[in-house]
Amino acid sequence: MATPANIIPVPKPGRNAFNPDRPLSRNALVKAQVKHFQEADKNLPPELQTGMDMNSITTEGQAAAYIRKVTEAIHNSGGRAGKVQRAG
Amino acid sequence: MTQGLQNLKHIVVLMMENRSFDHMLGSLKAADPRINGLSGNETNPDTKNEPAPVKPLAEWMSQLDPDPDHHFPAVHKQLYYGTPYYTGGPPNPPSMSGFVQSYFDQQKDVNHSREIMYYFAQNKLPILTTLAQSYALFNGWFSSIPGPTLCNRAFAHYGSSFGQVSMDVFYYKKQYLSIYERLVNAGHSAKIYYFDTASSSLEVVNLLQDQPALFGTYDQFLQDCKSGQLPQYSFVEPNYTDHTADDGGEQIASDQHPDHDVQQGEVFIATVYNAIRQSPDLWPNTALLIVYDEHGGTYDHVAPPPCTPDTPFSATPDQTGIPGLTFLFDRLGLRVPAILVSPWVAKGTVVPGPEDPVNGRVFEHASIPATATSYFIGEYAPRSPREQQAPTFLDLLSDEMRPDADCPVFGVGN
Repeated sequence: MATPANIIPVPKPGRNAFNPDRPLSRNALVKAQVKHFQEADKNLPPELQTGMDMNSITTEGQAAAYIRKVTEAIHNSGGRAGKVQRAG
Repeated sequence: MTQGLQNLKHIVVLMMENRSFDHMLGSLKAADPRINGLSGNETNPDTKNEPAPVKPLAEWMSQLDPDPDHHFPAVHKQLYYGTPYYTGGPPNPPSMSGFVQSYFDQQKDVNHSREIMYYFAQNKLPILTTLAQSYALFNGWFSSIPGPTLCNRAFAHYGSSFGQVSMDVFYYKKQYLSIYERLVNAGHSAKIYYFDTASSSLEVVNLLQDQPALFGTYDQFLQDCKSGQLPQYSFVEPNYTDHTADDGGEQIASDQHPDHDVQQGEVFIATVYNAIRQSPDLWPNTALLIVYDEHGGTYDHVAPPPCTPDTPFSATPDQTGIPGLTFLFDRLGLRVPAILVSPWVAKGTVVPGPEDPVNGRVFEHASIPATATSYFIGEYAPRSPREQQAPTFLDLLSDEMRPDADCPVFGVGN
């Protein structure tokens, strides 16, 4: 569906773009995301909870590792992850 | 109903992170005066009361570090510096003069604070600027709240943030269903695609832990595009973190949230676009909306307009973080880039915004569930006041499908 005339090259990021050691304190979004996953972690069945020490998460890469564990646990919980109570 | 609308089977929304319209696309005014970007004469006072001008010097990364504050009190300062919020009656129009002052608060560095006025030269963002000029660019798409990511994203999912103006969006007792729940309950298909499990979703506390079946990964999105399994409504989340992939490779964050590399976001936008563009089964019947959740503290020159209050919700001074200020959800957040992509959109469409008092249209994130609900379900009452008033955007699909040669393809592997 493309002709050479309408193909636009996409530049790739530089080699220094990847920085999993970026301090969590410098990204308010990932910091908040970790807080939300901590909440979800608490709602998991006890055998699936990570038991992670939140003080050990200080970088973006560590946050990602924690988020991966909880996300996988939610999917593996077979519907036993925390159920949100809905207003009647 | 137009031919474009008759053909429509899929709506895909890609929501990026934390960049204002002017920061990303302000340069395009020079190429097309219909685009309400920057003239180059806009300034904000710095803390020495010297004018800090806009400059096309934005960098892909290492410039907006630390992450510019965009919580409610900081955004309030960015909007209302030197101007009272209330003088009786509804809120006053914002001055748009506090961006440099607000960024100064974080590092107390005058020169660094002036960089919040920088915007991208057109040639630094070849993907976003090409799409903006090829399809429909909205001059007046605003974030829903003058605040941070999660409450704004809530408007895209639910048409409301349920009174929240912060990142603590734990709305357990929500009275409005998400767009995904509405569609599935009505017999339609819908999915949120997060990048991978290490990036996951920002909708974790509510939808992910409650209904994980609504979610898929970005790899699955690409596969669904190829296999004809794409749901009727899809919401795509970029990669929010630099992390190591399962195969040991580097996964660079693609969300464009400061200080992540903006070029990786360009690559991501290109791959989402290509997945649809290069599928003969999807391209004629899919509308792709590329939109940013909020401005992330970066400068924009257009004052957010007032809007329908999200009754019955209000945010108290304790919640807004500003003594004496109760927010009634009656004014929008800052303007963000928004582009509607479809071969049925006339090339170079610019949807006028508040700069055009006659034909201008004001969109916000509640327009997303409003559009999907209206198109796939039709009449649907239990929606927030904001969503009920939000304009929809599928009228931009015309009767004429553009030829392949008229629609760009990006040279990046899927």
